Amino acid sequence: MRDFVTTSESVTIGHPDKLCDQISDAVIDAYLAEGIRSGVVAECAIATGVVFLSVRAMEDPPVDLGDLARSIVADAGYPPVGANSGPTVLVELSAGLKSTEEIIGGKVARHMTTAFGYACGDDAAMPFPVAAAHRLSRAIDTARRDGRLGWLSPDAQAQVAVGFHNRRPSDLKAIALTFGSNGAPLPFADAFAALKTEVISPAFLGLSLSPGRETRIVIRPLSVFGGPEAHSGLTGRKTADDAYGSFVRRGGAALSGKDPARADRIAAYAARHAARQVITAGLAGECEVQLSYLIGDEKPISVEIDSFGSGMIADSAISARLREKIDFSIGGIAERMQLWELPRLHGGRFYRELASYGHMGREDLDAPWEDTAIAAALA
Amino acid sequence: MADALERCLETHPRIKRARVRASTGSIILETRPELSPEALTGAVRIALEEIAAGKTSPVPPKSTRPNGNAAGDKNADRPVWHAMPAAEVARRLRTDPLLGLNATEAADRLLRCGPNCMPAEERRSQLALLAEQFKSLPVGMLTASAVVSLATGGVADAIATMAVVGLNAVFGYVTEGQAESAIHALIDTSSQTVRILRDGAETVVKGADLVPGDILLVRPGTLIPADARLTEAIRLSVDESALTGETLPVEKHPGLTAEPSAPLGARPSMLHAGTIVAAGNGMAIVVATGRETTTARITLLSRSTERPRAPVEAELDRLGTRLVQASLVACGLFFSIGVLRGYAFSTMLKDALALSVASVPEGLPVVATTTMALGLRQMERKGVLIRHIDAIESLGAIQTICLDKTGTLTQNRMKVVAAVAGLSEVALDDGKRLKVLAEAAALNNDGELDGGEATGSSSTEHALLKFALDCGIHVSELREARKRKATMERRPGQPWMTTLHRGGAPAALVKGAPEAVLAQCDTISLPRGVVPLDNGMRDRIRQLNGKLAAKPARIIAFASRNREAGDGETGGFTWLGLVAMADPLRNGAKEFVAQAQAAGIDTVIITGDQAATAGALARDLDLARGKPVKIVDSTELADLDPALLAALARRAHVFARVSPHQKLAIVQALQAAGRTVAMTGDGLNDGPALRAANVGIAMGASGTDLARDIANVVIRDDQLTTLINAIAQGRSVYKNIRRALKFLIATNMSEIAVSMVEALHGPGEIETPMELLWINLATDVLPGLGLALAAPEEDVMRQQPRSPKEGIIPKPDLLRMGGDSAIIAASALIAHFAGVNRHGPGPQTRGMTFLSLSLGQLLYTLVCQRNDPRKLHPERIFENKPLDLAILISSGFVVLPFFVPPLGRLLGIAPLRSRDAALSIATAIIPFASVLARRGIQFKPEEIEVPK
Repeated sequence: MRDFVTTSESVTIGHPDKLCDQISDAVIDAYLAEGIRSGVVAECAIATGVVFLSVRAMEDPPVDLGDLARSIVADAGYPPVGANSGPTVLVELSAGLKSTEEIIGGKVARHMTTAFGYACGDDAAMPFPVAAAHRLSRAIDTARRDGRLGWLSPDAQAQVAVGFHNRRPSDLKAIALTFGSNGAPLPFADAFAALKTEVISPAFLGLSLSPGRETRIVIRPLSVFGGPEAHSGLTGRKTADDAYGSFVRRGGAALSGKDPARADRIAAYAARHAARQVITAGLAGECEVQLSYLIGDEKPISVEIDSFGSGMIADSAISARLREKIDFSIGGIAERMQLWELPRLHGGRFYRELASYGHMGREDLDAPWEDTAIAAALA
Repeated sequence: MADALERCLETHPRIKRARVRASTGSIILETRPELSPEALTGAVRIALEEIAAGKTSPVPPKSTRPNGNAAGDKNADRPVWHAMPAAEVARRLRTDPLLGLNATEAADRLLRCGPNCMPAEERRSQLALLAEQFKSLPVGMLTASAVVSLATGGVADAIATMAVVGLNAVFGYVTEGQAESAIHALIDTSSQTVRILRDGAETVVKGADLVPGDILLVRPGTLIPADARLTEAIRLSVDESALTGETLPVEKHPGLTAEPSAPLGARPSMLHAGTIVAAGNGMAIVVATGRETTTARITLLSRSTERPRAPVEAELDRLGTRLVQASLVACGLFFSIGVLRGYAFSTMLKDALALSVASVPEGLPVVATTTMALGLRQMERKGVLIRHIDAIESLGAIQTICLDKTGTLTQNRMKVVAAVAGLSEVALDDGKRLKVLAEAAALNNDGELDGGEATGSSSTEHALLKFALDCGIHVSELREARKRKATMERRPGQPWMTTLHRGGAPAALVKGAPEAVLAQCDTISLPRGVVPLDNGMRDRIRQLNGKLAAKPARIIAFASRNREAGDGETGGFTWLGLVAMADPLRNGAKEFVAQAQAAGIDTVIITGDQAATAGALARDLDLARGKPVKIVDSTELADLDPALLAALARRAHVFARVSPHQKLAIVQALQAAGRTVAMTGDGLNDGPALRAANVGIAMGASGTDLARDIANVVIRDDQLTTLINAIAQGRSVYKNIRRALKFLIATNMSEIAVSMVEALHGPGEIETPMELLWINLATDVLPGLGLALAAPEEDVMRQQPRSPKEGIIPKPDLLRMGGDSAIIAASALIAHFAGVNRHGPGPQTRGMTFLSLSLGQLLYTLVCQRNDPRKLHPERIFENKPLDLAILISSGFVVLPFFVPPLGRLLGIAPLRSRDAALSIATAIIPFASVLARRGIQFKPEEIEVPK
């Protein structure tokens, strides 16, 4: 087996791309919390501190979109510029479109779609690099919020490089943290020490690998505060971070800002769900599931498995069992995972939470695609 | 000096951008943070000293004196009010700041100081108006030609020419005089009223009756009628943008005295005429009225007492002058060539004279002014009051119209439609559960009770008070028991109003924008009692707010606090609930938007509502015509990068959550994007935006006095259809002037062409100056006016607005005019050469040419009724009755010389034989027929311009 190194990254909730993802998904949450099935697509961009929000739906938004966008930016820790203000929001609203059963029903794929899902035996069944990166960015946010690292701006990025041996993570090659500062930057040495104790150490607590003497740790303080005033953001630009980092193939479609009528979003969840069942059922050590849908079809035309040689049985046999035991039809996925109801069941915010720290491996959110209840049926 | 100071200041490491306005003495600095005011003034002082010392600029130090004291040295003995303590001002003006003047003293002072009117409102004397008529360049040319005639022995010619000059002047005097009185009737602002103290009592008087020494009472929205020195002020800020260009309201403090040399923008103890109170209340001693005010003195510097002229009039003046200059050059050239060729000097002088007379467009100024005045009258009859002459033309040029939702699109009659107490929506008839909320709505309310009914104040206050009454609150008893101790008004950047009350808890009540009020709450009042407000509850409140806002409705939140607190202090409030109010759309709002859009006018709605409300409204009105609605939702528009705002503004359909002081920024942004902007408004705070817009439109019936005073168009009946009619009228006034103009120029050019050809063909052939003068008078003025009276084209509101860059005569039209005048000239020349053939040069031939040319021009008038010949309907060509009458009368003038021999002799023409007359009439029909014939030919102007 060859050895290789792979990298993954994660950004904090204040990164403009992630702000856009969160705003887009908060719009989805708002519609679904009110029980409105409306074929919502919400796309967002941020530039020079102005939020551009485009919402396409069949019904009017049940919330004030301007407020919603501002509240997300404020929640991310951006202080209002003046009293009672926030960014200017340009809302482009195409509501009241003609409703069709095809769109609301969410029964068939309206585009050709290929989605990939992956799971492995690591923590939360996620590839180590992206999981580690998310833990780092979450640790940064936590430390900033509870004041331990109050000098950090809400906009930061964490990257890790991990060496693999026999497709198993073997050593932590490097960690890089990039961040803006709130006010005058801390002296480099102080910042380094603080990040090490408050971010890096807690992030790797309980993981199979932790930074050692050989691990290169790079911190890159930016001279600016960062955030939406400093650089632009766009919904769906962090698709790798949202899924499995750069470890496996990915379909490329954005997940945030689409309601469960969109096949590309829910197929990604279904693929992850299937992969995780395969691992839990002990059919393979790691598993990539590829689901492909043709336009107008309910069911996938192909359910492809790659266990990278770790399978207990042939990949084709795993694939056959999945097809047999799991309903991969578009409507079926939404149904069995309760994708339309999740925001209501979670007090009005579910998809929005997914929009930071990745959509996969989110055991903290009780994401239904992490549920392994039907694994037994596969074994 | 200003430039030098800007450059110098911008070298300062912490100053990003500096703008120095010499006219007002104001300096606007954009600085990096952490720069104290002291440091700033220090920087400016150093910069000034550097410049004074000649380090950065060779400007002599003398001019470093800030020139805010705009009237200059002439008024050096004027008391420096802004540098005096208030008591000193009162002593000097012999007035009592607490009692005011007594009525007899005020009347006496009014006699001595004159009425408080702006100089622009003073009328020109009748004599001046008449004298004005003789000052134009065409008159100069005619007079010169009379002098030449006199010198060459043509006494009769000279007398006739001068008679024409006199007649023209009288005609101009009458029409312009009428126009002027119409215009002055419109800009009369003396009806504006102000609140003052007289004999110790608050009195309302006409602004014109204000005298120095009066004690002025100001509140938000007051248009300051005269210069005044503050004696008292409560958080007073004034919008001085009209005077200084500073867009943010300036704070005023009576206690501060300024340096005698302080510029206008830095006189915190002064109120200046023409500025508007943005927030707060105050009292001030009037120190200068009428033409003594700073505004008037600045105005006097930049403008004489002439009535304001419309841009099209100025453009016509320029055009007329250029035409005369061009023809002078042509005459000179023509004369020199003739003399060089050896023709007799006196003949050439006469010919040149004839040519110059032919070229003078006598009708030009009269036609434009009269068209405007008639347009004003017509509009007034239809309920549209035009307060500035240029507005009539700008109305027609509007590209974007900003509609203030409240009062323009809606009926401005708010009604409570839903209420949320604590965390749940409560039926409006459930008075028990709404009690706490309703009590807050009754107490924190500026509305008055009149016989148990809610009345007065704003529509919001009115609706909230009615809500309290409907919930069964005994408002008067409650207000008696819980007397109000203090009020903190809502103001820019603080979208809530706080009231403090006696008689127990709650001691403080706040009412305002939901998000802002929620931010101040840490507890919530629920049926089970007051509990801490957690994040889940906040989310629930936001959800409820969003749901209500999408109704669409305006949402007001209420909160209370048991202990009192100062104005600046926030937080510690208990959330009471939300009240949603709706304001129904006016009838015809949707049709108005559709008509405006069909006319190529972008409609932008400006509203204080939340984005959801605005979005629903935009769809109700079909603002985006089926496309996605673009809503700009901003609380801090004014802080945006102007270029970015301009780009956003150009695309947006709705500006949501706009506080009134940001409307100005929107108008300016649209203007920066190159649009001609109209703005409707009715509110107290709309003043600056109404003034900045190209056309400020006020709704007459429901609007405030202030909006009516500032707007240059007032829609009396509040009907949006009236506004559409006004725009159509504005467009057709411009088009009519343009048509008249094209006709006048085309016919004048044809006369020049005829004279040139004749003179070059042979000596003695050219028409006499008297004859040409007669043609001009007979065929120019009346038909020109007739054209100007044409009714609007039926498709005038289906055309795109004209581009502001487009001149009054676009290039394709210029080519068409050239073609037309060539045809008119050619037709007349046919008659001329036929005459030369039959009779040789002489009165007979001149008679034929005269008849052909003048009738040709008159008939041509009929086809000038449309700019584009394709739009002419032959069957409707006589529809314009005034034009028909004008042509008839003018035809009478044309044939008159043939039947009145002395007149004929003066003009140098002889009566015609019938076959000559028939030929002339036949040729006169050619230009008319040729245009009609072209009507059927499809062509594009571009294809004419670029022949392949």
